[in-house]
Amino acid sequence: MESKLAYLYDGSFEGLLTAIYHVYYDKVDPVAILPIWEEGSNFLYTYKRVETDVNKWERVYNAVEEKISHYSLKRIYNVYLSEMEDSGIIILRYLREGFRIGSGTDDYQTNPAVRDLEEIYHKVRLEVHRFLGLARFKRLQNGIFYSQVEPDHNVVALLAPHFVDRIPAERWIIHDIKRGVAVFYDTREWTIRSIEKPRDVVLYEDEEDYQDMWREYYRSANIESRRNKRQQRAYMPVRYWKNLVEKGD
Amino acid sequence: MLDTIAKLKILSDAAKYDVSCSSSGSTRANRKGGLGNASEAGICHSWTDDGRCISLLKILMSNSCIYDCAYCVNRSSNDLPRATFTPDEIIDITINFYKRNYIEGLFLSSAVVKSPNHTMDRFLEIVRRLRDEENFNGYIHLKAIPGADREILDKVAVHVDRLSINIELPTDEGLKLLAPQKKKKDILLPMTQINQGITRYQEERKLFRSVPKYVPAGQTTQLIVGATSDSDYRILNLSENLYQGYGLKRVYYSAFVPVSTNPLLPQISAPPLLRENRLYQADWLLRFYGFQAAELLSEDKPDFDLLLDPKCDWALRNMHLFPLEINRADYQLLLKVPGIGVKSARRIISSRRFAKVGFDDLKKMGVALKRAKHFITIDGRHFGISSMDEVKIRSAIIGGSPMGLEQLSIFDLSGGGDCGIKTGLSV
Repeated sequence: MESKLAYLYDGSFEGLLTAIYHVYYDKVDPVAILPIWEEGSNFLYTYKRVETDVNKWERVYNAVEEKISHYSLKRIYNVYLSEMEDSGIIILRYLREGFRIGSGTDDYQTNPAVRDLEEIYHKVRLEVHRFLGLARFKRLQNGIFYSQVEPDHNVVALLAPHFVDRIPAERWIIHDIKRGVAVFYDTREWTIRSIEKPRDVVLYEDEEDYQDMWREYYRSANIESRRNKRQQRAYMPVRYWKNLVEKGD
Repeated sequence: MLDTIAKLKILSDAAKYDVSCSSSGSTRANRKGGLGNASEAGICHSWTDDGRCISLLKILMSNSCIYDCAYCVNRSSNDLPRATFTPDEIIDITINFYKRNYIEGLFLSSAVVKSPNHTMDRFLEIVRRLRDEENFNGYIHLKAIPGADREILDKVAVHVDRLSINIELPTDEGLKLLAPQKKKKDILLPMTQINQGITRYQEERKLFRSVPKYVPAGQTTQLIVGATSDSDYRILNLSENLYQGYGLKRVYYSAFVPVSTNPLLPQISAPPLLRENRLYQADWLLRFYGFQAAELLSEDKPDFDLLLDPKCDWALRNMHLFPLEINRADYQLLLKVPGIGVKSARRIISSRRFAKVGFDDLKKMGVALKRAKHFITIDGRHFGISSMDEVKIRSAIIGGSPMGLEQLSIFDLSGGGDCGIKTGLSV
């Protein structure tokens, strides 16, 4: 039996685009494009590593923008951030169709490759939208507003622009404790860095008063005779609750 | 003196029956060094156990009312704890909740304190200070108090995103019976004034960019469903008139929750949530699907079938229009098919440019084929009941779902109106 080829890249978006460059250059049909730490995870695969190369990924980057659309580039970046196992190969299949069809690709909803990409893109955007509402900030003793999140997908960088616009005059941090990355904003610009989970945070003196008020508000806004926990959980999945002031410990 | 948290409990509990929670429809860019923005799509920040979204801090400024309306929990004859927020308290909570990302903004309402003008003056102080002193650019929805002077209304209107005046009872008779101190013209007059204000300021803004926006997210109202014997037909007709004649952005429907034991009110054990949901679906049909109230209901058929969504109900009475060929029908016609929503109709149209749309494609586009299949052909083939017999189709659609509840997806039952991510209603 012919062995199945899987490309490995360094985990960066640029690395993924480099791998896609190689697929075209090597004229092969891989079954997967995976970040390097997935090496060896499937017994039936033959793995091939690619080195991230600016000349190669830029070729792909520009080709997507010119031959398909800027929007299409945004979509594959979001799908890459999904960190779902099959996102690499789904992006490849989508780009193959995209280069064939051109700028109207995303309207072709009955095409399986377009639809597979759309499905993951939708998941990522849904989570981004949810966290625009569900990220909770605590004011720390040093005045910084700190938010701890555990999203399914790697979305903190996608959240940053919204909060820069929303709270421009305060310093804040959005910390993805699952991945150990955080967005830092210093009232001028935002950066993304990897950080450890802080051991103990000291809150600003009136922080707990506002948390108490919020919990009180949350309780009294409920109408008991309309109780509908199923709907509540559909909009606000339970896995997000532990970082919510009104729901967590 | 009550502390802030005790007031918050009283004054949010008293405000929660107002169903409008939306923070959508306004884009307000942040000003330099300011706090906040208004997002066009609206953002929900949490969901209470009743499944409704929290987007705005929805509170009353006060629940000490001079009026005594039978349906209202805050009526002056009701024995309950009273509280009044100071402007400082409201401003402080709003700003601090906003910075912690608990809310998108403020939805402020109030009992009528002393007089309509006095109450509106207080409102003006709060919204002016939020915008000018705190530089707050988040969403503000204010409930205007009927009976206040137009000058105050106009001053308030340029500081807020949305104004609403609740009609509450859909007919004159209902108003006379349950809220004798309120008059229809008192409610409709400020609605007219707001509508005129929007138009006037829009005209002036064309000439002078410095003219402020007058309620940029428009005005809305709320109707209570089930407190009087008014039919769905009367309610929907009223909504249609409000959309067309008063330029309203939204009409909200609130299933009557028994909060008082007044003998004039119906004795019901649970709020009529299914009826409320049918009205929301029908409202959606008016605004996005090109339907008219008179097509959906009539004097002879004044109420919706609780077992069927209003579009299905309509389609079964208009079988001569169906089946439609999915690969040829234009957008407006696709929208009339039960089980096809705005999103799926758009997907069908854009996909048809590349290839014919088949049965499986429709499923993946989110078309509810259980309903739709009876009303469409797919490349000439019909997958529903071949006789096109409306009785048989009706029972096929309802069948297996006692009370028709199965058709209501969790997203359809969005009690709070347009809360949450815009899923729309696939009716």
